[in-house]
Amino acid sequence: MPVFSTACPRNCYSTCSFKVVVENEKIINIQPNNANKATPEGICLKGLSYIERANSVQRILFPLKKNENGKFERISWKEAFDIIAFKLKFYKQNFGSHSILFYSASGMSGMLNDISSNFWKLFGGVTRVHGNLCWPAGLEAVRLTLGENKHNVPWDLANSKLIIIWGKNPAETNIQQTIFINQAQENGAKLIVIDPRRTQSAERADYLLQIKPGTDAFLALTIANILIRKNLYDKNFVEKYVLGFEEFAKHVEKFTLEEAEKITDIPSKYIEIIAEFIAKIKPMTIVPGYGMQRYTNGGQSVRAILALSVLTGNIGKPGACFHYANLQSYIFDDLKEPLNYFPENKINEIFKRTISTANLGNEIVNAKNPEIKMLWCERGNPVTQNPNTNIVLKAVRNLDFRVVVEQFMTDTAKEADIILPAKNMFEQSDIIGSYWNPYIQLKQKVVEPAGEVKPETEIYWHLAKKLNFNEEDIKNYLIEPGDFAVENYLNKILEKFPEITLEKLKENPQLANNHEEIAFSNFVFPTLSGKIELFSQTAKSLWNISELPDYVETKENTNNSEYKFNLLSPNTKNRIHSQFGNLLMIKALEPEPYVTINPTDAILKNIKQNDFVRIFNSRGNIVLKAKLSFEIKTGCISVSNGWWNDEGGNVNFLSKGYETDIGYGSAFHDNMVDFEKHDTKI
Amino acid sequence: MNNFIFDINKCVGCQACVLACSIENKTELPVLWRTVNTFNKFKYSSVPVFQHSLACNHCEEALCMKNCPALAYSRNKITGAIIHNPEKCLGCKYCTWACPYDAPKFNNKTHIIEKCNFCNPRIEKGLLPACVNLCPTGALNFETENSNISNKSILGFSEIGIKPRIKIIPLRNENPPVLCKSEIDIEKEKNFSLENIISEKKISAKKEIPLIIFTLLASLLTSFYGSKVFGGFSINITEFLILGISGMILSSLHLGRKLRAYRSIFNIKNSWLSREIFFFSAFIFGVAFNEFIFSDNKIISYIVALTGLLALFSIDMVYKVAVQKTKINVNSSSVFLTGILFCGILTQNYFIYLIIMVLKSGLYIYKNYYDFRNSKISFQIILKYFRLILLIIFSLVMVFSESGTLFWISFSAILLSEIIDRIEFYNELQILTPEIQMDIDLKKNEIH
Repeated sequence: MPVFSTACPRNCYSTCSFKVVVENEKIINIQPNNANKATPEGICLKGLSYIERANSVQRILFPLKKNENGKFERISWKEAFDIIAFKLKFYKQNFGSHSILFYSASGMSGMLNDISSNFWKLFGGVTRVHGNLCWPAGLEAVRLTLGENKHNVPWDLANSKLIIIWGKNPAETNIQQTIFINQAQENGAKLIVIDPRRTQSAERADYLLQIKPGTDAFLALTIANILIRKNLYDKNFVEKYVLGFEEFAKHVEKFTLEEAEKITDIPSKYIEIIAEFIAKIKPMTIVPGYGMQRYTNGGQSVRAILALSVLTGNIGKPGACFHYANLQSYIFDDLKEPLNYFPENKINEIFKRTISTANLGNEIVNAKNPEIKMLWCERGNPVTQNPNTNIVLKAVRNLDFRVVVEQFMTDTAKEADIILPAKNMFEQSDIIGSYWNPYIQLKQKVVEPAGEVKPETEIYWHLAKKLNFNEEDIKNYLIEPGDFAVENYLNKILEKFPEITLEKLKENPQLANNHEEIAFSNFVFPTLSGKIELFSQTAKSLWNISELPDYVETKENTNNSEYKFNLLSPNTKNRIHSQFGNLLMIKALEPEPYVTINPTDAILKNIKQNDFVRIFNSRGNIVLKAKLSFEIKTGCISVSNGWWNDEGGNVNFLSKGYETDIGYGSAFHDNMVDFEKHDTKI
Repeated sequence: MNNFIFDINKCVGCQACVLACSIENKTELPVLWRTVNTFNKFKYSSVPVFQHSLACNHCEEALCMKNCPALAYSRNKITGAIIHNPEKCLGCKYCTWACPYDAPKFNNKTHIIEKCNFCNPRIEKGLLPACVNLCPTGALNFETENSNISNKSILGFSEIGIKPRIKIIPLRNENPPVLCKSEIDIEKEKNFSLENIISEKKISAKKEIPLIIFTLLASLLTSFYGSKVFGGFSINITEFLILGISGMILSSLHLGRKLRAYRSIFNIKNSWLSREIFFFSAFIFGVAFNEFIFSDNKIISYIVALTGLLALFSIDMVYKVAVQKTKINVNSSSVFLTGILFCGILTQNYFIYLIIMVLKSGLYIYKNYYDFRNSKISFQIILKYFRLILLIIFSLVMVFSESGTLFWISFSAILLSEIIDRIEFYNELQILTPEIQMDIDLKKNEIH
């Protein structure tokens, strides 16, 4: 049986390499690929579930059109193209091409995704979204401070003597990272976890600080204050490489232990212990997650935490880095994250308008000149994944016409007028990078598309023909159907990097050119000043926040909200956002959504194990089962994100959609709710 | 010989092994052969949380194989894998009681058992089992040489001397993380007891009504026949055979594959279940043969009565795979004792039934000692007193009523008392599973 090397293109740190076994045009088994040093033992359970996902009976295999009764019926590609081309022309002529919203998200990564933008550019420009639902606040924080988002190779973590996992749960969201954490611990490293939840990642930790959500900056700046007051920072390093230490040192004086205990809920004696660890144990790697920056003060929190790595000189050395995002494999991009999320970089003569993804629903409704009439949605599921589902649903339903390119009948697909069947990762070759490991990988085509599935590149090519785009443009900017054209396109991208060829990529993952095993080991920081900027003028000029890392209260918190519980909506090992949850394999492990409540909170509301609970705030409400556990900090409850609406657990009915302080991210966790016992499921 | 290695430090509970297994062996979801169980699911602060990933441990003294009445299990001599042979399986589920690792899984669609086979086809080719091959953290491993395995100190793992072929690497640090909480939060948590967290049990009276009826019927039939042999009261032969055959049918009702019922006596050598079925069938057929062929030969009737007693003894032994609630290994609801009790009553041998009454009451008080002393008034407790009083009072009343209405009232009262105890017995039956072992060890850990 043929075995192919491939890689997982999901929005996930690990970006695992793996091998697929193919028999009769079907993926029948999966094997590990130890050529990737970051994922040597194999892929996670979601990757294994590709066996089902690729061959699922739930897959959409034909173009579908919603009829008058609201039911989907199969149509031919010709009819689909006819309808869509007619609509595109109609809206362009009557309202201008910007009455069409092109929405895409992180459903599948790859270089061919650029073709979508090319098409819409040739079409005359459409409205696009700016920002990102996930990580930009932290990316921008690191960019402001270090100039660039990169960190040591994943396996270097084993060299650390102190690892601080801050708001990340790698045991579920970056499983392979735990290999290197375990290796470090075998070598005697200490592990500290800072998280409102006692996650699986916290179980092997020496200390777990169950911090009050949104107060991370206060904790970090208090520790910074201790380090400076007690002269425990790395003077040499600071003098040589850091801009703004004096201002920073004076600024953090006001972050006292007493205040910190009140604000963060961490007893001061533990803050002192942790500060002692950070001061004395080297090398230290801080592994910040993306959860902690999904607040309205998220960017400042990440800047404050990063300051601890900077003060102690834990940058640019083996075992010492700030492990936020490693974009060293993004070698093909001219503009790297987060810059390519910024509207000023998205808006040009052709694409004249963007709307914020964090506030998608309202921005669609409020768009004027022209109003938004039509949605084209691919690689995304905004109805469940963008904040404030009720508003998103209202906005999408208010539109005239919706096209959704999807593999499955998601909540967004259900809203469509036309659904076009989307390819899966095994049906078209593409090149992907990783934001964690330093490999360039090929997810190669190993089977023909199922049913009548056409890859997006073909969809756009046919539409371009139908719309009579200039033949020369079609040739230059789009890809004609067939594997040959795809390989040509990929080869052209690879031209600049002769070390990496498609042939090599077909065999195994390839290390990115010039990647640094130890990031910043040359101590060159591409900031304005060329130094590590604790004091950043850009922070002020671009984002209107303090030049220094500071603690700012979150927009929603216990003091100013009538709802007294922080709702956390973390990711789980069982899904990537709303992907995978529909599969029987995943359902066999976790059949239904639940809310995790601390028993001491539950008892006050007379809630017992498995009772139904209604969670509510001014945005909406959801009803799901209660799971009692001391895992969650009192005053917080948690529901994993990504459940579909008919499963009853879509947390975004409750989220608001604030933008983060910097980077145009979404402050999902800035979300106060209350809850009560509920008699039955809605 | 082969064995699994499982490193608790490396396992993060991701369940990739569970799916790897399901894919390799094409299990019909939601049937899964491998399970990841979590110790301290409620995350009590003072106790660590960790996982065990378990499927079949291919024990050297495999209890599934020993107890299977149909000889459906075999061992691959080269790989050591315990193989379940589906074509031989009755679907009686007895192996699911016998195995402390919950390895045999009942498939509701095929009505038979299936389980982990060590990926025998793979390991025969020198490949790793799928779960080991695809564990993304390297927590699961596989060893081919014989190593000295002891898992005695592993919390949550049942070590009952059957030599499971798995080596568990314990936690480097047995302590949970220091939870940097305030004293108030820690105090609050202490108010929650561990009482309400016991995992779902495999056996309960509600699920096993046919077995309750069957086991009591067997003891009544034995006592009727014994009474007949010793000249006491009895029922006529037609009634006896109707009841006896109903009993046999009833006992085969829960089989997944009823047409294979004949296989149930294949393992008389090792399985008490085979012995039970064999002796009970021999008893019923023995009664019929003796009546119709040998015209009730006295010597044969003694032998047949003895067969009945052996059937009762076997029934009691079948339940020994469960965790014993008490140190004394005889339960007050023993059908063997019940058989003798009623035999004594029917032959009006005061001496015998008063002794058994005293014995049963004693055992009953002993097993419920804690409840009698500590529990508040509840339905369960009243029922327990009721059981005890019925048995004692009516056994005494029986002494003074050799026949007539009062005798039958007493007889019925004692039978009711026995039924209550039998139901309690099924509700108390605790079959060891990894989950329950974890609950048990968690409680111990919490007490320390």
